[in-house]
Amino acid sequence: MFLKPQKEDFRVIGYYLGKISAGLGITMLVPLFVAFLFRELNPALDFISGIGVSLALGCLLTFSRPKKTDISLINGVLIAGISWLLAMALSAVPLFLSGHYVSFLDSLFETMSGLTTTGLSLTQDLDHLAHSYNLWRHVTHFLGGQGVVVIALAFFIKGVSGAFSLYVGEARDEKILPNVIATARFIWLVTLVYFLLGSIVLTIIGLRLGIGPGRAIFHAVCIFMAGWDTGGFTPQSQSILYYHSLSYEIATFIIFFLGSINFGLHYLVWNGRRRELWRDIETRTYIATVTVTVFITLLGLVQLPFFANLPSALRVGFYQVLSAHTGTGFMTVTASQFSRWNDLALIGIILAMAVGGCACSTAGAIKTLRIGIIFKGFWRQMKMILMPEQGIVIEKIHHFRDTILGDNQIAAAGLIFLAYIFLYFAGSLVGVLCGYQFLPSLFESVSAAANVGHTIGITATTMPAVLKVTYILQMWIGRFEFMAIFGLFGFLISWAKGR
Amino acid sequence: MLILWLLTLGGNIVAPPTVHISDLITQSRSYEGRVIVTEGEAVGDLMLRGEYGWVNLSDGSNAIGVYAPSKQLEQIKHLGRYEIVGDRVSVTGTFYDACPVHSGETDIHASSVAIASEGSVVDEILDQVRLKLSLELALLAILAFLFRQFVRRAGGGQRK
Repeated sequence: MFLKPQKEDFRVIGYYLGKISAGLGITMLVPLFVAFLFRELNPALDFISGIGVSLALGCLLTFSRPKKTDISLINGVLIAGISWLLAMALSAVPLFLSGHYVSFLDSLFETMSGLTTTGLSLTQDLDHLAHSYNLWRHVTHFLGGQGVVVIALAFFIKGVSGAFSLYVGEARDEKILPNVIATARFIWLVTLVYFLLGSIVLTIIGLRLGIGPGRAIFHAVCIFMAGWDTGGFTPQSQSILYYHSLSYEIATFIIFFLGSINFGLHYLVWNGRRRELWRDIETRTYIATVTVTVFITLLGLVQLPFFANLPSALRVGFYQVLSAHTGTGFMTVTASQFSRWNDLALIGIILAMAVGGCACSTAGAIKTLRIGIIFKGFWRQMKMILMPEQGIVIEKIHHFRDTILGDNQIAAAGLIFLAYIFLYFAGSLVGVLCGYQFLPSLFESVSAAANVGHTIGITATTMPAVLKVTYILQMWIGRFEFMAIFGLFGFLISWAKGR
Repeated sequence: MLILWLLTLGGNIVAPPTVHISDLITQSRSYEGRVIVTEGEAVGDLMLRGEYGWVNLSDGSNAIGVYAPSKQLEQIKHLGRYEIVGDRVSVTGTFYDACPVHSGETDIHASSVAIASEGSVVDEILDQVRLKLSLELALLAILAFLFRQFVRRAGGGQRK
């Protein structure tokens, strides 16, 4: 029997959405400050408009405080899911007013891509975009990568007994520290330490590349936010190709690779347990899937007539696969070059995108932990077939600690795996229906649903609106690992059929 | 006749084709390793690295990196950014779809760089429509805040 949502449930959902809306308005003070710093007058006005809308909505939604502070799991999932749609719409206001987007739908696409750390972009004339708008695009990566709700838990919401429901609602289920608020704060501590280190290193490299001091810092901050949160936006239209630099490639590679590692593993390594990096099923699977996808891609690339030598193919192939695998989407080739890669190389990239990084990281997609569990499940099944009938097979996995692999773990991993495969193919079917070929459609669909950001050239302002909406939904559903969509359906069913 | 033919031939050799940046990007295989002339707006940053350096040229839709001697690149005074129209730069050089020197990236190795037209700094004019909108929305936020405080004080929004 379903329980019909009560008036109080709506009040709880509205109240926390209001808090998140107001929090987003406060965050817009950052690009507003940058607008004043770079003397960008009209962009500053657009951010004041954005702040005005966000705060007004925040105030209206929070005028009635809920009687209970407890948040049920279904409400937590709903708050997290809807808050991202709300954040998409509010973040899009200043961008749309900038005049760099053909329609409001395009600016919604941009902010959903930013928040979900995808990195597909529909910005027109990016090279002339004001610093403040550009920074805001990258801040959306930062907000989304860290988690809108994680930020709210860490800074804005105090003493919520249902904090875990909100945390789980945002597709995070690992408690690194005993309570989720402490966990959220730890995630921020790790991020801020790497933010300082990464920005300093990228600034030094930028200066050595010949970029002026102010611009070097600006590029460094933007690229760090996009890299660490495995986003993919860049301040210039040519992505990482803009810098023409191996050292910039290496630095960004280290940043996005660290961003794709489980925050739990960061915690253990910070506490001196470095061996965990090699023992954990997640990192072992990561190494295996990277090796396989790099091999497939390189096998395809060496057959192409483009690359004059093997080191060139290796540099391009390795960076692109890792950028895809971690869900970053930084590109060192043009979309046009990508479209001329052979099927084998593209399949390598698609597989890397489809798998994704680690759980409880900033990466999206199926995740290596689930791949590892499914593989172990197959292995256990094989052993069971080979064993005598009375035999019992116990398969262990090591994820922070040794545990016995259970049927429920395999079933959960398998379910999400199948759901992602369905999502990838559903998006590519829409692409094919819009007139694109199958493999490019699959490539772009996986890139959107796995929150990667690589493009083969389909993502453009000229693509049909139905495809833009499809990709927006794919990015949203993919980022939440289907929690939001399950929660929304559950809530609607309870509302319609509940008692 | 022979002299005329030789002149025509000579003309073909000294006049490489003029190609748009977007054509170079989308039909890159056709121009691989060929000497071409292209023109675009210098955008972003001038990255001088000792004897040689880089500048990125854009045609509004696509952009490409140009590798050239730093002395030639130093002519560029305006780089396209927000409210700055970059210098239009004409480049003659060898186009590479996958450059053998720069690890397979698409670029042009310039033999000559010239300023086709100078860029400019655009004075930002305060947009009255934006100003009005931002003031109205800021006022809306203040009113919403006051309304919330009023409702809470009246007891309607208090947690009981």
